[in-house]
Amino acid sequence: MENGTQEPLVPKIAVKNFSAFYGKTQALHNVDFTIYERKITAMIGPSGCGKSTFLRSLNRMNDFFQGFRVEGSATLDGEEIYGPAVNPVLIRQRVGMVFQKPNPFQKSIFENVAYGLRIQGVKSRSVLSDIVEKSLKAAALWDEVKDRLNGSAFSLSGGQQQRLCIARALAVEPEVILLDEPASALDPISTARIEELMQDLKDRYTIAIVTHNMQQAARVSDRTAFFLDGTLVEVNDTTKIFTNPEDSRTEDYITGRFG
Amino acid sequence: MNIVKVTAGFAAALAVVSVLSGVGTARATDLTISGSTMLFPLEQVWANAYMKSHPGVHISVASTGSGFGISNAANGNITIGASDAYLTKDLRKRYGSLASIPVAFDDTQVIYNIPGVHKSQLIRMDGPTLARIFMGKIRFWDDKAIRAINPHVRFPHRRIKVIHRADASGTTFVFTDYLSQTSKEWYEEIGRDLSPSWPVGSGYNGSDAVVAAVMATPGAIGYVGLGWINEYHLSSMALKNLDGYYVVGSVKTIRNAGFAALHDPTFPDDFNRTIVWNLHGKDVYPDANFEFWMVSTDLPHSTMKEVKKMLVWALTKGQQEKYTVKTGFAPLPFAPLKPRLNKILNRLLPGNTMKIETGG
Amino acid sequence: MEPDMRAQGETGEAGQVLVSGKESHFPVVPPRILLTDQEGTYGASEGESLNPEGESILKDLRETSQVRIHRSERLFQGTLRIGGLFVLALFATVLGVSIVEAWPSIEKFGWSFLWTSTWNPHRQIFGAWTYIVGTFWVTGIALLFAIPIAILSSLFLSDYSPKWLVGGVSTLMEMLAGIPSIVFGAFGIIFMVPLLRDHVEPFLSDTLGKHWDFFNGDSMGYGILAAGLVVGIMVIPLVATVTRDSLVMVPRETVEAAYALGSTKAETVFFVKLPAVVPGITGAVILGFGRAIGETMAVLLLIGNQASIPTSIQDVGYTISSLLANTFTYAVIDPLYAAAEIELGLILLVISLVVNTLGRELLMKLMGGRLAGSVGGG
Repeated sequence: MENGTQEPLVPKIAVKNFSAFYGKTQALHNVDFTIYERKITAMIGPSGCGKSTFLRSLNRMNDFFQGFRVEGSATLDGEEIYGPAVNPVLIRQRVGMVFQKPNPFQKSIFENVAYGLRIQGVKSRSVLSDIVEKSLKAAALWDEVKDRLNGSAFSLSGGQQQRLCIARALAVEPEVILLDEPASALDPISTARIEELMQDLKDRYTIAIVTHNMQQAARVSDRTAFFLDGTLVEVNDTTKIFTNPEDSRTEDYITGRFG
Repeated sequence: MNIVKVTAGFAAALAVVSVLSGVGTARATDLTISGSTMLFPLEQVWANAYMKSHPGVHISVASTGSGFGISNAANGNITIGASDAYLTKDLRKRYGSLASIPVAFDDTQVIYNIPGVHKSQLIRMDGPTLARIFMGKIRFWDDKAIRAINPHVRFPHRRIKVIHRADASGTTFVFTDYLSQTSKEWYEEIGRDLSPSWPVGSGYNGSDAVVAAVMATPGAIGYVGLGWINEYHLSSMALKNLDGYYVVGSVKTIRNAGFAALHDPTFPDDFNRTIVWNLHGKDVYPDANFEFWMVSTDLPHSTMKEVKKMLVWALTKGQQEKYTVKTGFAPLPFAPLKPRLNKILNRLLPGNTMKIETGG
Repeated sequence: MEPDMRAQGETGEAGQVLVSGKESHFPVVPPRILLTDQEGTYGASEGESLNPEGESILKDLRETSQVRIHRSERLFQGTLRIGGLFVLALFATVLGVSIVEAWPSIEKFGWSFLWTSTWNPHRQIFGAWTYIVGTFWVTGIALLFAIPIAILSSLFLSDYSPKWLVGGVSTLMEMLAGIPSIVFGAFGIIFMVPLLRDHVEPFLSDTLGKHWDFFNGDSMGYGILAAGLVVGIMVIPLVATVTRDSLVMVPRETVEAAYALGSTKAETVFFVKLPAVVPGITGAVILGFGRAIGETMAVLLLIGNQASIPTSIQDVGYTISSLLANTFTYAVIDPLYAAAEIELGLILLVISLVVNTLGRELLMKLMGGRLAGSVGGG
C-alpha cells in the first residue's frame, strides 16, 4: 500500500460503459473501471449495490443465472471477456475466484488442490504433488495439513477450509484472483490470516476483493471502488477514498451515515 | 403348526368374508366351499344355480388352493374343501375325519410347440419317453425315442423346452401320477406330487401362464387340463394307455376312464385311488382324474343334512353339460357311481340313506 | 434477587443435563416437566418481590396450569410410547412367530439348511441354497442394470434437461414407482420376454456366448435376465428420485467453485457433483436392494420358477419370495414343508435386515465426515 502509487500502473482488466441485467432488472449502470496488475482493488458498498455482480461478471460466473446479460465492454489484457468466440472456461482458468463461504469439494485435501490441474490434464503424480505443496504453502496452510493430505477437506476448520479454497484457486496459476467477501464467514483470527495472505500474494497476482468490512478494505487494498445502487460512485487510491473522498455519498458511507 | 392352522383359517375366513360381503344379512343356512383353484369356476356356477333353486341357502365359494381346502375342511373352518387330488395314505392318516367325494372329471393333457410340425399332425407319446423328456434326459425333438413312436412325423433338430407349473397344482399331481406309474426312473427320482422338485425346465404360475409360455416358446412341451385345451383349441398328444392304445384326452375318453374305474370291483369305496393309467379299454384316456370335495364327518348334524342335499344336487342336476363341460370338466357317469356314493353318504349321515334321483 | 437468579440458573443447567441424560435412556419423568418447573420457580420469585397480594392468585394459576401441562404432556408421551411399543411388538411377533413356526426345519437341518441345494418335499429334504442364489442373481442383475441408468437419468434431469421436461419426467418417475408390480410383470411377459427371446439372447449366444458359456443358453426369454431387468426397471425410479434429490441438494457454492476453477459443465457434473452425492446414491442403492430382493409378483411371472442354480445369464431360476408365493398355500398340509418355507422367509428377513443395517452404517460413515466437517467449520 505504502509505495503502491509510485510504481507504474499496468491495466489488467478494463471495463467501459459496462451494464449488467438479470432479466429486466438492471444491476449495473454504465460502469467505467480499471483493475491494475499486481494491485489489490477493493470494492465496497451497501448490500445490493452491485459490487458482487460486478466481481462475478469479470470471470463470467453470472452466466449461470437465467436471463443474465451485459452491455458495454470488459477486457482482460485487452481481450473482450464477453466476446462471441470466447470460451468462458478459458476465462475462468485465467481469472480464479474465492467465495464468501468456504466451499471445498467432497474430496481429500490433496485432491481439492489438485482438482484444477487434473481437469487440465496433469497426470504426473510428482508434478501434482509439487504444485499442491507449493499452493498450500502459498496459502499458508501447508504446515497445518501436510500430515493429513488424504484426510477429508471437511475435517478442516472454517478458516482452514477458506485457505484451502485459496490454495485450490492458486494451483491453476490464474492471473487474477477475485475474492467475494472471503472473510465474512470467518472468525477474527482466521480473517487476519487471510488478510496477511493477500499481502503475500500481491507480488504475483492481481487481486480484486469485495468486502462489507470498510476497515478490511482500508487495511488490505491499494485502490478502493465505492458502489451504490448499481453505479460506481467513486474509485481511487484507498488512502484517498478513506481520508478525502470526492463524492459526498462516499463520505456518508465510510463515516457510517448509511449502509 | 398351530399358528399355521390359525393363519390358514384366517385366510379362509377372509376369503369367505369377501365373498359374503356383497350379500348382507345372514341366511338360514350358510355353506362355505373353499380350496382347489381348478374347481373354483364350476363351484361358482353351481353355487349360483343352487341358491336360485334353494332359497334360504347361502353358499360362499373361495379359491384358496387344494392344500388349504383339505386342511380347513378337516379342522372345520369351512364346510366343504375342494381338492384336485384324492387323500393319499399320509393325508388319510393326518386328516382321519375327511371323506372324499368325487364331484367332476378332469384330466391332464400334454401340449407342445414344435416348429415345422403342423397342428393337425397327431403326436403320440408314451410314459417312459415323456418322463425322460421331463427329466432332461431326452433333449431334442428328433430324439430316437420320440421318432420311434412317431414314424410318420418329421421332427426338427430342436432343443426341447420343458414347461411346468410353478404353483402347487392338481394338474401337476395327475401329470406326475402318469409319469410315476409308467416310468420307473421318474417314480424313483421324482415321484408324484402337486409340487414336485422338477429336474429341468421352467415353471409358471397357473395353467394360463403355461399355455402362454408353450405358445410363445418354440420347442416347448407342457401340460394343462381339459378346460384349457377346449378354451384355446390346443392340440394335445395322444398318450399310451395300459392296453397299448394311444388316446387323446376328451370329454368322451375321460368318461370312459371313469366308467372303467367304477366298473372295476377292486376300486375302493372311498375313492382314494388314482384312475390314472391302470385301466383297461380301447378309448380310455390314461391320465384322467376325479375332482373331489372333502367333507369332515365331524360336522354338526344340521349342517351335514344341508351338505348332503347340496352334494346330491351337484352329483345329479349339477352334472349337466351347461355346468360341467362349460367350465372345463367332464360329467360324472352317475349309474356306476351310485352304489359307492350311497356308502359315502351313509358315512356322513349314518342310517339315513336317501333315495337319489338320477339327474341329467 | 441476585442469589435467587443464580440458584435458578443452576437449576436450569442441572435441568438441561438431566434432559439430555434422559433422552438417551428411557424417560421416567417427562423431560419437559423440568423446564415447566423452572419457569414456575422464576415466576414465583418475581411475584414475591413485586406484588405480595397477587402472589397467591398467580401461584394458583400457575400450579393448575402446571398440572394441566403435566397431564397433557403425559398423555401425549403415553400415546407416543404405545405407538412405539406397538411397532416393536409387531416386529417381535413377526420374528418370534417365524422362528417358532420354522423350528421343525431349523431343528432338523441346522445351518446346513443354508447351503443344501436339494429341495424335495417328497423326500422331506429341504435346503435354501438354490433359492438364495436365485434371489441374489435377480437382485444383482436388477441393480447392475438400474443403478447406471438411474444415475445417468438423474444427472440429465438435474443438469442437462430443459426446465419444462424436468417436472414432467419427475412426475412420471413418481408414477412409475407407484405402479403395482404385477403390471411390470405383465409388461415383462408381453415385451421383455419376446425381446430377449428373439433378439437379445440369440445375439448374446452368437457373440459373447461363443467364448464364455456364461452368456450362452436356450434363449427362452424367461429367466433370471428377464426377471432381473424388469425388477431393475422397477428399481430405477426409486434410485433415480433419491439420487436426483441429493443432486439438487449439492450446494450451489460447490458447483460454482468447480466452474471458477475452469471446469467445463461435464467436468463439474462428473468430478464434483457426482462424488458429492455418493452418500445419497448409496442410500438409494440400499433402498433399491430392499425393493429388488423382496420383489415377488413380477419375478414369479418371469424367472421361470425352476429350482436350479443358474450358470448362465440365460438360465431360469427361482427366488425365495416367488417360491413362497407359488407353493406356500400347498406347503401348509405338511408341517416340515411349511416350516422349511417359513425358514426361507426368515432368511429373506435376515438378509434385508443385515443389508439395511450395513447400508445405514456405511451411510453414517460417509455422511459422518461431511456432517462433522460442516459443523466444525460453521
